[in-house]
Amino acid sequence: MIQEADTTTNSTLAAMYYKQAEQIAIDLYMYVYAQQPNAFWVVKPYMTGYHGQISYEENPMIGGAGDSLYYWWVKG
Amino acid sequence: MNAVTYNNQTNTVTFHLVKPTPPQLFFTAVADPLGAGIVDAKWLEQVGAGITFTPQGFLQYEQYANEGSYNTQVQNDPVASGPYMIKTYVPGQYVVLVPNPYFTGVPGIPAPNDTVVINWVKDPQTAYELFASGKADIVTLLPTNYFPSLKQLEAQGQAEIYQFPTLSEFFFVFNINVSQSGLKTLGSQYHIPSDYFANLYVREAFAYAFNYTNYINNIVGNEKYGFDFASPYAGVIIPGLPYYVPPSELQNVPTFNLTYAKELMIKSGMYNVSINIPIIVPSGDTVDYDAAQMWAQALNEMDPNIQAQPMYLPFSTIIGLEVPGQNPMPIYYLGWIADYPYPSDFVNAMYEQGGTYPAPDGWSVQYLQSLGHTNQAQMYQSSTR
Repeated sequence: MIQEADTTTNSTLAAMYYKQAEQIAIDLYMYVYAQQPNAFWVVKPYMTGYHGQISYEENPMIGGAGDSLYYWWVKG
Repeated sequence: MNAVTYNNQTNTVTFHLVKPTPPQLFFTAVADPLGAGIVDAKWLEQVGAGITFTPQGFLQYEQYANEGSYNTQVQNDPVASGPYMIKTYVPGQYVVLVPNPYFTGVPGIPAPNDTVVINWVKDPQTAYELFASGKADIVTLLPTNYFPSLKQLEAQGQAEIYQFPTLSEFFFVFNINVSQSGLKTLGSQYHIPSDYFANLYVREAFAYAFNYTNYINNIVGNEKYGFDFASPYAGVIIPGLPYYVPPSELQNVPTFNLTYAKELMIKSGMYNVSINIPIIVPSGDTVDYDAAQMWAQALNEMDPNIQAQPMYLPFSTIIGLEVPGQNPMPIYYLGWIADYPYPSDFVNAMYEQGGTYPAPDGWSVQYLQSLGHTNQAQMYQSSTR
């Protein structure tokens, strides 16, 4: 089921398979789901993002948004 | 062997896939910043990690991805092409990054002219004090109970706080095949039947003994500190991913109910079975240490023969203990951070047989069958096949 969900090009089928996989995992109580965190940068006021865009550091693909890219931090 | 072709005239690269693949999956997979670093092919050949361009050659190359089979030069001393390079690295203590003199900048990524020092410190208080005293410009991963102090720094103009969502999730993991000898190395007082958590009713009882609302509101601290630190969730496909299913559309999502938990425990046949276990939390995570403590008290209320205590272990130790067939941790707190924003990254790792968590936590159809848990084995097989 999971492999079918991962590989189908039919989004309706993918949605169905993923939902079924989720339901089975919950029925099996494999995990105790605790939290989906928000994160927060704590910086000195003189630290800014590249081009004033701290949002560059919020990319969820960079460590789920928990890591930052040093070259986009600007000091001073 | 024409999987990837390029055209210097049109400045294009073409990927020829062996079977139809959802475009979103393909683009997100190749965009994965954690696993898609491009390294010079000739250098890889020089250090003994080259790819032979045959089907067998690619299969052999995949072996480098197995833990213990890494090419150590590629692992520890790669030729990189980014803005910074490592000047000094003391594992677990600090790293000093200096500008890479060969990197002259590309659109959107300027050539840096400063030095970055990253310190890993022993505890959150040390990190906080370095920041508060002005010895650090950025501080990360402070537990939420530091929030009042941080807000005070902000009010004094000594800090800025920027909040944003993440594509990550955290959970407590049940190990359904606990290593007995390994458990004793964590503490001679600990004992539990190795297959205790292979019992579905036991896991369900434990899930119903966790106070999810108190956890988010008061331990993580959304309500206590008036800040949206985290959201509860159920199922590994979290908001932000395609095919997310809200908990309201799923059945049997547990809530805190000790009366029901006790009923489940009695039904499991394991009520009154004496256990004493650590609930393992990564060192420094004071929030989830408190959560483990809360849970342990509730479990003891549910069944007085359950003794559990939170225990800190370094993150790297927890990862090291996650050995299939030898994992001594009965319950532990970890999570998952997106490698790429598609459900397969999460579902495969947390649910699939042989996945990152199921493998070291004993999840196999064969094991469940061997214990006589036929129904569970069938359920798991239908999901993972």
